[in-house]
Amino acid sequence: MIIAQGLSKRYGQILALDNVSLRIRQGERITIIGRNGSGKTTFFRCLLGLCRYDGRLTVAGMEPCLKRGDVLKMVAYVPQIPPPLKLSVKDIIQLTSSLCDLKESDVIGYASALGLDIKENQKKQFSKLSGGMKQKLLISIALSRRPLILIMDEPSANLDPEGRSALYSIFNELPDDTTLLLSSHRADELKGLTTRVIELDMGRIIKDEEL
Amino acid sequence: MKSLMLIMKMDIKESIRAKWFHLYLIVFGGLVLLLYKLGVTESEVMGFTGVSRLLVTYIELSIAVLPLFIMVATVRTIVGDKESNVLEYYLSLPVQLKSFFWGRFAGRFFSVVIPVIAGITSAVLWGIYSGLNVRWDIYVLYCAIVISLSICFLGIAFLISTVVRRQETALVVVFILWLTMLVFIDIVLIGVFIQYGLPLKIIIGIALANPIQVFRIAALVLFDPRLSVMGPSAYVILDIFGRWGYILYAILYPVVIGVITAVTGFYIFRKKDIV
Repeated sequence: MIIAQGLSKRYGQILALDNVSLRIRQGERITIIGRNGSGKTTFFRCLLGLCRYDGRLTVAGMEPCLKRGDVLKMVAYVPQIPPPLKLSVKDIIQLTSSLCDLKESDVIGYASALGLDIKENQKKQFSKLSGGMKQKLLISIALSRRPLILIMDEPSANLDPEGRSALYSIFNELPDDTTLLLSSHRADELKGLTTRVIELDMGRIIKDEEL
Repeated sequence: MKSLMLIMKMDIKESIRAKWFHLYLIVFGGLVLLLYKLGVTESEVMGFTGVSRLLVTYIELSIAVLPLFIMVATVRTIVGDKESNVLEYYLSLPVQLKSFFWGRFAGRFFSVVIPVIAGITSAVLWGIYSGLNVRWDIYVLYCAIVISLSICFLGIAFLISTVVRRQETALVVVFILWLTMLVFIDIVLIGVFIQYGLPLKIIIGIALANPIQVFRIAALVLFDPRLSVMGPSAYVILDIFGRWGYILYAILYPVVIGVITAVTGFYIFRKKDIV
């Protein structure tokens, strides 16, 4: 599903990814761990075609930089820090529903499962929501897209214990062919959810083990 | 096309919620009301009276303020979205880069143009209601040059926004550019150039290259029956182009500048890392 060969990414003097090579099969559940600045987010950004890189990277046989549109139809992403979107909750749901051909009722359903009442918050500006509420909405949108690859950068960082528990239950119910890529600082946090752990440090893979 | 329209709609909605837009509305909407309140329609300056007098004053004030407002409101679009990770989120959705860029451009275009056109139109409607004489040629010309000028400065702002890495840098570049253009209008530096004997071709070239000067000549001088505020370069330019030739130039030149800078901005945006 995902093949990286000699993948490197440099930001000026900083080598964010250093000759990373890996293969990820469809349906694998992977946790990518590593300290701050180890290259986790950069790897995700490369997969999303958000930055240029050296080496080879394919998602379902397509280069994300060259076939952004096709790749992004299969991939849903939840960023580590929710962006300060100025739209209302309702507007964001309408926009993403139209752009991604998803059902608004699915977003509302997932949000409700995570403990976010859309009806109560629909007129609120997204940037005025709490960190946890923002995260729940973005997760709900990503899940509603029913993607083949689901990428979540530190998904539980802002969630309350109930939201975290609900999210883990949803992960367990994902279709078998959904590839799940999660990032975390700690491997134990997502224990039981994933089948493989990849550890990055200074942009290099220092550990890759099946659980 | 569908995603371009959605991004455009999103940008307009974001603008409506933004503080800069509220200030923009107050300035350009309030200006018309203020000019009426001050009795501008009842006085005569430069041969203009009634609604024409109000429109000339309105446009004269817009010459300096409109380009700055447009650029300040727009220049942070791409670079700001990049810094705040908004770009990372929106472009992780299946949106083509061209749809995002041009959707943002179109959204911002409507956000900046509609309040000014609404201001000009409300002045005309008020004039009709008050039984004043309305010069429709001036109304149509002013709408056209406002649209043309908006495209020009939007294009410049989008180019700056894609080139710089920080919002602060973008704002500094905008202020320097705006001040440079403001300085090179007829009544300021060009007058000094003439005094010091700079070749006429260079002076005319500078005047014709400066969108603010082009805007000024078209808005203020073209319908000045007494030629009382005609600057030296404007006088020569009108002599070379003729009335309709200059109108065409004043509308097309800023559009060309805007399109070239915006397209350049798009190619830079496409080539660089998105985040």
